[in-house]
Amino acid sequence: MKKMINVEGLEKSFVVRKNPDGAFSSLRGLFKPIRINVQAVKNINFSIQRGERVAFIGPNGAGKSTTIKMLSGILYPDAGKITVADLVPWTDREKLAFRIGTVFGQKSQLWYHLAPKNTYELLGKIYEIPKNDFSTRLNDLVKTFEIEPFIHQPVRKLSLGQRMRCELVASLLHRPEVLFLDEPTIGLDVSAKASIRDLVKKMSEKDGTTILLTSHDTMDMEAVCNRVLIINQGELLLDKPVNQLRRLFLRRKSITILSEEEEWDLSIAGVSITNTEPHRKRIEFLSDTVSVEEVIQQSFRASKIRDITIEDPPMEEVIQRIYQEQLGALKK
Amino acid sequence: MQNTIKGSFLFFAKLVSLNIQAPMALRTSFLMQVIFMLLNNLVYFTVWWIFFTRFKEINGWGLAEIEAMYALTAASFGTALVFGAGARQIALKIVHGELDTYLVQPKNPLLHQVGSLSQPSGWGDMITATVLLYMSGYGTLVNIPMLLLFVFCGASFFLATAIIANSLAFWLGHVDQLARQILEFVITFSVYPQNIFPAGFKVILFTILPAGFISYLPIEILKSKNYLWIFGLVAACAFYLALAQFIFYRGLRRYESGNKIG
Amino acid sequence: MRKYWEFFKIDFWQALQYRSASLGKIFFYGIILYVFSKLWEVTGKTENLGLSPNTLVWYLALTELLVLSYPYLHTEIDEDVRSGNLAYSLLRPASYLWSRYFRGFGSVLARFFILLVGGLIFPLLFGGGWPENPLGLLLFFPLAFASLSVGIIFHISVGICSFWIQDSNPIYWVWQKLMFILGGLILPFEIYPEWLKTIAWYSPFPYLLNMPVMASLEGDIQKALSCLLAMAAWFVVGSMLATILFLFARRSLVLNGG
Repeated sequence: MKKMINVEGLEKSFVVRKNPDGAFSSLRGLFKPIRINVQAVKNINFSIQRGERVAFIGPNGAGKSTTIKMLSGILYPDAGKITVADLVPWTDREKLAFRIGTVFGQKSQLWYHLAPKNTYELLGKIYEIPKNDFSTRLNDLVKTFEIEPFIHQPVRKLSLGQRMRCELVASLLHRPEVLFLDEPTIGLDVSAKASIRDLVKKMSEKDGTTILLTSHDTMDMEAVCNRVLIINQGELLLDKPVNQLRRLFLRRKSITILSEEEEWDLSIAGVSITNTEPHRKRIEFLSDTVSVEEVIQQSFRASKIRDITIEDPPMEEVIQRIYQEQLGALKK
Repeated sequence: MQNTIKGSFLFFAKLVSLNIQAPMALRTSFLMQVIFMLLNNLVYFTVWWIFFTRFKEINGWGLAEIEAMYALTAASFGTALVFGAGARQIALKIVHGELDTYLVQPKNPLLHQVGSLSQPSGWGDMITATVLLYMSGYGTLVNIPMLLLFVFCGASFFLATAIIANSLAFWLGHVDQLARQILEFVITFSVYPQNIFPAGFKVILFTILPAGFISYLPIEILKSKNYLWIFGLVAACAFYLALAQFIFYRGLRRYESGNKIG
Repeated sequence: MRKYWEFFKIDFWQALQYRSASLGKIFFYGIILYVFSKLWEVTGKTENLGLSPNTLVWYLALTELLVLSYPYLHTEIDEDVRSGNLAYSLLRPASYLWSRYFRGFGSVLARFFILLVGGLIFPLLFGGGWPENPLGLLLFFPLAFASLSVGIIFHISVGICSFWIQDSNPIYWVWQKLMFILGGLILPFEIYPEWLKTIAWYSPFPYLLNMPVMASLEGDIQKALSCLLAMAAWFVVGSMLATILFLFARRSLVLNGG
C-alpha cells in the first residue's frame, strides 16, 4: 500500500485580534493591537494509506478543522511537514486541488441562488473535465445520490439533507483520490445522517477513495471509518482501528428512565444506579458485561415507565477516560 | 491533471456568464437598476452642461473633453461592476473566512472571488458612457479600438484598487468601510479634470489613488495625439494588476478561515 | 408627543457613536470641497463667476454640509419591509411613519453637528478667510434645521417605495441627483440658464439648499423668513405624500399579509 497522507511535526497557532469595527479604528488597530496567541495544533504526526477511511474525532476547538484546512491547502502551517498524494499542500495548492475533494458542513460550495446543476457545470470547467466524461460521471452520481428531483431547483429551496447530498456530488465530480469531510452530518436529522453515512461509505468502496472525516458525532466514525484519530487541545491522543476503540471506550452506556413511581428498585450485577430526582433514574453500565436489552426488560418489570433515553457517553467523557488510561499506563 | 490557459479562460467565461444571468432572472429589479443608474448619471452630468453654457473651458478642457472623461470613467466602472463586482466583497469574505471554497479548487481564487458577482447597475453606467461618448465627438471609428483599450485599463485600475484596499483585511480585519471609501475617492477624482490640481497633488492621483490613469491620461492622449503614452498607460495597468495579485497572495498566507480554532 | 422625543434621542445618540465612520465622512467632505475650490479657482482666472471665490467656497461648504448630513434612511426602511419588522411595528401605539421621521431627524442632526466641524474649518483652509458677512452664519442654523426636517419627509417617501420594488436604492440615486441639480448643490443658481431656474423653483429642492444658504451668506433676514414659509408649505406637501404612499403600502401589506 502507498502512503496517501503524511504529517510530521505539524503546528499552527492563531493570533486572536480584538479589532473594533469601522474604517479608522482598524487603522488604529495597526499601531496599538490587542493580541492573544492561541496554539491550535501542537506537534501532530500521522500517516494514512491509500484507500483508508479515517475519522478525526475530538471536541469543539480540538484542532480538527485547522488540521484538515492545512491538509487541503487553505491554511499555512507554522511548522512541520505535510504531503498529500506526494504534494505539499500550500506550495502545490492548485495541483493538489485536482486530486482532492472537500465538503465543509458549515460552508457550502454550491451557489445559493442557483440550481445545483449550474454549480456542477461551473465545477466541470474548474476541474477541466472533458464534456463526455463530465456527463457520464454526473449521471452516475445523480443516480447514486438520488438528487434527480431537485437538481434544477435553486439551492436556497433545498432541505439541509438534500443540500448535503448535492454537496457530496459536487465534491466527487472530478474523481478525487482523497475526500476531506468536515462535519458532513452537522445539523441533519437522524435519517438524513444515516443516508449520508451509507452513501459516503459506498462511494469510497467503489472508487477506492481515501477519506478523512472530522466529526464530533461518534456515529459518523463507527458507520463510515475503519481507523480513528482522536485529537484534543491540538494534540493527537490516540490512533487505533475503530473496532478496538469501540471495545475499549465506547462500551459504556447510560439509560435514563422516567417512571410513574416516585421510587423503585432495580438490581443487576455490574450496573450503577443514581436517583437524580423523584421519578427519574439514571442507570450506567458497560455494554459488554450487561446488555441493553436486559436492563430495559428488568426495568419494565419493576416499574411503569413513562419515558426512556439511551445514551452513549459524550465525547468529552470518552476523551477524559483515554487521558486517565494513558496516564495510568505511564505510571506503570 | 493541470491548469491550462484555455481551461482557465473557459472557467472565467462560465463563471461570469452564470453571474450575469443570475440577476437578470429578477427582471423588474434588474431593469430598475439599469435604467435608474442611467438616469442618475445623466441628471448628475447636467452640472457640466450648465457649467459650459456659461463658461467656455477649464484650463483648455471644454465640454467635449469632460463628456469623454465622464464616459470613460462610467464605462470603466460599469465594466468592473458587471464582470468583477466580487472584488468589492473581498474584505468581508476574508473576515468571515469564506474563501475556503475557492482555495480547495484548482483555479485562481482571486479570479474566482472577483468574478463571483455581477452588479446590474454597471450596465446602466455602460449605456451612459455610450451616450456621452457619442455626444463628445470622441467616439469616432478610428478612436474606438483605443477607447476599448482605455476602458479595459480603466476597469483594471478600479479592480486593482478594490483588490488592494480590500486585501488590507488580511492584516487589519474590518476594512470594508475604508475600502469602500477609497474606491469612492478614486471615482470622485476620475470625474473631474485633473488639470485643476497643483502638481504635487497630481502625484497622488498617479500613485496611491490611480484616478489619473482612468480618465485624465487617456483624454490627454486623444487630445494631444501623443500615442506613445499608451505604452505607459498599459505598463502602469499591468503593474497595478500585478501589485494587486501580489498583495492578495501575500495576505492569503495570513488567512485564518473563519472559525479560528476547530 | 413625548414618545417621539424619545425616538429622536435614540437615533441622535446612536449616530454619534460611530466615530470612525464620522471621521471618514468629514474626510470625504474635505476632499469634495478641495476639488470644487480648485475648480472655481481655475475657472475664476479666466471667467467672471458672478460671485467672489470666497463666497463660492462658503456656498459649497454649506450646501454640501446639508446634503452629506442625510443618513441612509431609505435602506433602513427597506430593511424593515424585508424583515417584516414593519408589520410588527403596526401593532405599536406609535405611528410607524412618524417614529421613523423623528428617528431620522435625530440621526440627521447628529451627523450635521459632526460634519459642522469640517464645515467651519475647510472653507477657511480652501477659500481664504471668513465669509463677507460672518454674522449671517447665525441665520444658517435655524434654516439648516428646517431644511433637514423637510428633506427627511421626502427621503422617507423614497424609502416607502420599497414596498413595490425590492430595492429603493435606484429611486434614491435619482432623488439625490435631482436634489444636487435643482437644489443648486455644486453650481450656484446665478450660473443656471433661465429655463432651468424656472423648473427648479417649482420643486422643493431650491428651498432646501440654495435659498437657505444664500440667505445666510447674504445675511438677508427677509429672504430667510420667506424661505422658512416656503419650507413650511413643502413640509405639508411632503407629509401628505408620505402619508398617502404609506396608506397604500399598508393596504398592500394587509392584503398580502406582509
